[in-house]
Amino acid sequence: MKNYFLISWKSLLNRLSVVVLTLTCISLSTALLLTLEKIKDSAESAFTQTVSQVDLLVGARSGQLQLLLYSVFNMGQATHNVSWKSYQYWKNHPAVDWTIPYSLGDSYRGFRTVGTDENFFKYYRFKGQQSIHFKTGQAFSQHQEAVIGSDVAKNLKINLGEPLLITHGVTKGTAFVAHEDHPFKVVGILKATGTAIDQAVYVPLEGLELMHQESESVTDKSEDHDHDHNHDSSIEIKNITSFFLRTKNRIEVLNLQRSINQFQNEPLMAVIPGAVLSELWQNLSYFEVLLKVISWVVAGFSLLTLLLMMLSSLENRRREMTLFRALGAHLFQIAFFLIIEAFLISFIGVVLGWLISRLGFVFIGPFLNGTIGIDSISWGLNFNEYFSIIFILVSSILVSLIPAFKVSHQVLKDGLTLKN
Amino acid sequence: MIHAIDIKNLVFSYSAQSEVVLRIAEFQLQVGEKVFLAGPSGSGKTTFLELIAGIIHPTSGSLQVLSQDFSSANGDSKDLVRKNDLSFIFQNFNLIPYLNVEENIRLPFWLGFQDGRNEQQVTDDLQKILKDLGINSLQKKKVTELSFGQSQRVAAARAFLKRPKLLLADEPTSALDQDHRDAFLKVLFDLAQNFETSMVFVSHDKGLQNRFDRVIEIGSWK
Repeated sequence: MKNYFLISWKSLLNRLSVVVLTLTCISLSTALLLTLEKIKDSAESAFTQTVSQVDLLVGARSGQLQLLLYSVFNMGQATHNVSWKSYQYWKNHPAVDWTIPYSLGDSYRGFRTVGTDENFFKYYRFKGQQSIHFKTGQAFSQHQEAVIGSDVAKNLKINLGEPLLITHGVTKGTAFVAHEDHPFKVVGILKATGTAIDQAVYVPLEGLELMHQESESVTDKSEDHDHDHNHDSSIEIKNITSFFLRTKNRIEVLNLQRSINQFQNEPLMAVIPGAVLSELWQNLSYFEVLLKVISWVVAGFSLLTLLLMMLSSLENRRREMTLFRALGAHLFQIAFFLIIEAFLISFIGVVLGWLISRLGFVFIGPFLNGTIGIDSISWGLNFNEYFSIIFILVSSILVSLIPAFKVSHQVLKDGLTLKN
Repeated sequence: MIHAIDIKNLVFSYSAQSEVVLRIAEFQLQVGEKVFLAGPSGSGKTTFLELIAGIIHPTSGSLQVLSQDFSSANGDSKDLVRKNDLSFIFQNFNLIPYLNVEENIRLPFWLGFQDGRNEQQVTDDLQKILKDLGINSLQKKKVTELSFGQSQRVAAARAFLKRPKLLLADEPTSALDQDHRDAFLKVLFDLAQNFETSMVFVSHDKGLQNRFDRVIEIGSWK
């Protein structure tokens, strides 16, 4: 067997230029398949696991999707708020373990501002078990402190200690209505997560409320405005936009969801984020299917290249094949040479393709992080990748049966000397 | 074994309709005998060699090669005889261009030839044959860098490393000049003597025929 590989190997080296071209086709198409697979996986997990370990997402009654989009992806607007009283009611409900409040509606130079509390840093999880970490600094402890996501820090080049002027409404560029009298100070920058978390500014609920009260009072031209409002227990939060909720016992999720949906005091809606996210991803995945089809077509073409290379070499190798036969090779052995040859090319091709795709992530990965959420390069293969690779190897062997059949037919006809 | 080749009433044509290419009433090659088969090209020499090699089979009549029946279409036993007991030297293109001299000589072993010698014995025999043929300095050389005479010697080395019972040589000397031809023929005969190899030597060069045990005009068969 070793000798068959040796002979095939030397034969391939003898036709290096055309072999290199074929190898390039196979390795690039494999790299394309594996890269798309990886990007799809990462995009899917970044998407569907933007928030994890949250049992329910609660907001004012509107569309499920709308609630999810503005709470999780910072997209769109909430039409109604959740009153602080209702929030307190559900927060203290016996079935509830913890909640994370979200107050939206303001922005800083195009990035959303999220009013929340310390539970966000403590309990928020994404991509399974991953929790929020600080690149520098720490969580806010004062009303006028802010924590910024990694994209905000990177894009706006903001460092610790710098002031932020939050704008009412979400606008880019110059603020339309800036809360000028109420700057927040950056005390923490989050590590990149590859999710929507990177693209927001986090401030305490109290600070946000205070800012809104002040802007109202500024329009009132109130003179006795007091800036010493840290630790001001008198700040009364009226509303939040939505909140995440974790039950003490998963069994209670559906019951709790029903109770929230039927809450008499205020029209609320609770959704299970994971379920809605998966559903949404399914709806978006036609694009993924399209990419997959394209990459398989490319893989198909690379196999055609292999076939073309092998068929076009046969004419030149007729003498070689008749000689093998004269030296005692069986027709099967001669056909086997071609199959080994195809296997060698496609094997080297997929190994190169795998290397190209992984090295691609090593070199381009850092630039992509945050946009498609590839944060760690795994050199191993997942099930779909194994499938792709084995599919290419098996297909190349099947493809090589065509020249193998042809060559044994030709050798039979040629005998000891070439006949046309 | 009485005869290396035994033919009776052999007829060969490519199909039932086409004309008869070869018709041999009787022919025997004794073990160890060297026969010179003469005839112009197109006279059926290649067909004869392919019949003996078991690559084609007679339309009718009987053909035995090394006591094996080669008359029927069934190929397995013929493949086995070709692999184990026959060697060929052709007029040209004897060597695989991407293998070096030694690899070309070992090729039959790589394709499954085995006669009980171990790796070391084969290597020793290889060295000896290379020396006998005067090409031991070429062992690792690319075959594309060899002269024609050297290539034919490499082909001879490969043919005899198998210690074949029967050597079929198809115009092996026709592209060599007089001196090289004589020298080549001499080593061929010495090796055949050594291994008790029977030989069918096909050529149109009648200047060589005196050195053989027997000369047959292929035209006389028809």
